[in-house]
Amino acid sequence: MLSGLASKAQATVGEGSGAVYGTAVHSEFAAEINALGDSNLSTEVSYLNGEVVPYGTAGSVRLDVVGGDILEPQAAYDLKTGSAILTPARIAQIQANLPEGYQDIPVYEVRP
Amino acid sequence: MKAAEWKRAVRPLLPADQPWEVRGTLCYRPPVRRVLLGVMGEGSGFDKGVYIWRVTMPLFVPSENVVLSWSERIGGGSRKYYSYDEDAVAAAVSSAVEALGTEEDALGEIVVRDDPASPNRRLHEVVGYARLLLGDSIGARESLARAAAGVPKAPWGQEIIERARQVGRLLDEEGGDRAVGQLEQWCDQTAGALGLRRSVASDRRG
Repeated sequence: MLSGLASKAQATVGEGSGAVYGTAVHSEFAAEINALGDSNLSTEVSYLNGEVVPYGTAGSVRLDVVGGDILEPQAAYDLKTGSAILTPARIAQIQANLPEGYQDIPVYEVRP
Repeated sequence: MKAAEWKRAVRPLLPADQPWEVRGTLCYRPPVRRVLLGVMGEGSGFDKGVYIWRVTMPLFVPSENVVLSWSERIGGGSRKYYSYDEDAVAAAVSSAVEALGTEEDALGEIVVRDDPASPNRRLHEVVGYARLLLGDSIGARESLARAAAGVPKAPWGQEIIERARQVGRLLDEEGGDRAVGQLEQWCDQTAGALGLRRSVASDRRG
């Protein structure tokens, strides 16, 4: 489902490449998720040492989409465009900052 | 929306009959005691939108930064607000302010989220302290025992265990007042780190 929303977001933004393009697709992707009206999904959630923190908090990791209660997340999704990939190191970094008991949740790469 | 822009947008929406302070994109009602209650605009990494939070932050767990685990995004977890949509921003801020309630309400909301089966050690720690502050020593002991159980995966998990054991020990050996005193120290520590104006000792009675 999220892959479909990513494709829709990419179609809205159009063709492109680079960081600015990726940011535009992310913005549109977040808007598509909001339009979905699914209360189970949260966008742009930052975690640090098992807590939810504001964007930009030093040392925190920012997840594009979180499924489930943000205190008890069930899945995380990372949108990638172009040649960017979700690396094992990034997955480990994300999981290390999730709440204890939820550090083994799946972290999915979402691609248009 | 940058901090200055957020401040300009939000200031007129805050109830004029209450004192409010603004730190960056956080607006709160001083003086704070044990729970920070306020409204915050969290920026987006992708555009100029903001997520508007009704902030409920327990200060009795030591922290160097704002924690939003117990807070609520207005309009849902994926709803962003934009400065061009003034009516929506106003409605969201008003909704957040109206729902703030008292510190006791906030402690009650925290306790309601208790789930004895949850593997989230932080949840048990916060619920345990909230129960203690609400006068439920028995419930506090149960939650703190859960917070201190098992083997942590991360260093911060070990810190939770040590704090929970410390408060549990104070509760058992020196009584509830001494345990609450420890929480007050951590409130001071967190408020100091965040630059919040905390109530003076005489305000804390009751």
